[in-house]
Amino acid sequence: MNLFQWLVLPVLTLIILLDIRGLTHRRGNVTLRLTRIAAWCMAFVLIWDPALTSMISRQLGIGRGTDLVVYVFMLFAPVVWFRMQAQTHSLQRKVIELARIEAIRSACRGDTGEVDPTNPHVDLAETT
Amino acid sequence: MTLNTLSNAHPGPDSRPTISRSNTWVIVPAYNESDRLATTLASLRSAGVGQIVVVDDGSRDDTSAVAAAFPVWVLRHPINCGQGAALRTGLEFAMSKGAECLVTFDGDGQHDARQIERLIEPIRAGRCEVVLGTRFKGETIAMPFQRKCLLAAAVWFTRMTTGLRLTDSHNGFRVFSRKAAQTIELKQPRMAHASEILDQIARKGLPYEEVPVTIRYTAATLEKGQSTFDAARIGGDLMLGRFVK
Repeated sequence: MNLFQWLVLPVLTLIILLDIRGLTHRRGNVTLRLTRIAAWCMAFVLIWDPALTSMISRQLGIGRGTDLVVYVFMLFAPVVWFRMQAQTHSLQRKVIELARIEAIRSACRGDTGEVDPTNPHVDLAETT
Repeated sequence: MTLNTLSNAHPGPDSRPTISRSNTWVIVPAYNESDRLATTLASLRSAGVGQIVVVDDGSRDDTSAVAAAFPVWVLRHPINCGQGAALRTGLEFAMSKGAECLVTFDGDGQHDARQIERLIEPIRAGRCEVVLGTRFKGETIAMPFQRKCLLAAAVWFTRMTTGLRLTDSHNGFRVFSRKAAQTIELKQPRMAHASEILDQIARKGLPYEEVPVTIRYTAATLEKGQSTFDAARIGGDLMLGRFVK
């Protein structure tokens, strides 16, 4: 084993064990966790045996093992990016919904300072 | 009143309540508009608009304070959420107060308040559920050529994606009946809401009319307006919005 393998493989082992522990305790999204464990395991195997990458790439007709890694990255990066964007959008919508509730809750008439009397959430004593 | 309108369909017999001054609400989304909002609100008041709701979209200036000097409802987002979100807040609030006719009107003085009556008329007559202002059948004052090209591209994009044969697709001067406002689900918080509205009009088969309006451009409004980069962002938001529940 070279230095890189000595440095990275223990870290990967720890990450895999933590994810497996999370899975057994049913924490978070199970599909996401399984996908992550699969990705870590694949990384572990390919770092453990770099010749495996070259063998697979030869089988696929790609040539170099490095090219295979680049291609796989190019395939997965957009998926990960899209997923992150979707999560950001989803979170943004929740924040906006909160802002909306707050804005409607504290609605008031400009010239008089009158609050919305039909709003059950407004504490009239607090606003006057 | 003779209207130069372009319509797609006529609804059947209508049983909607009479549209009156008291149940017509104008929603004014405003972000950092303290310099222009007073003029806009004064013009709305002098046009005889009954109910006005200003949604301050988390402005960093005195937009709320300026609005508060007028007899209007003032709502304030604690953070900047985007024009689409501000419109939805205003629409929800107005509907909770019994609005039957809802006008969206920019706070930066681009629109002419005297034209509101003309925009409401097709809904009042029961001819449609949505009225869309069109600057290309109306009048534009000081519109730059680049903006004209961008808007023409947006019209083409709208035709390709929705099938609606509109002449103006990103005009903030619109009128919704209560039914239309309840039917359209605004999910896009930022500028993509304009395309989202048209998409839903097409998908849900809401009858609409286009009515000519005047849009007045100034240096300040152009500075806050949409760029080519924003157009790309709107496209991205729309695509992503289809996948996010």
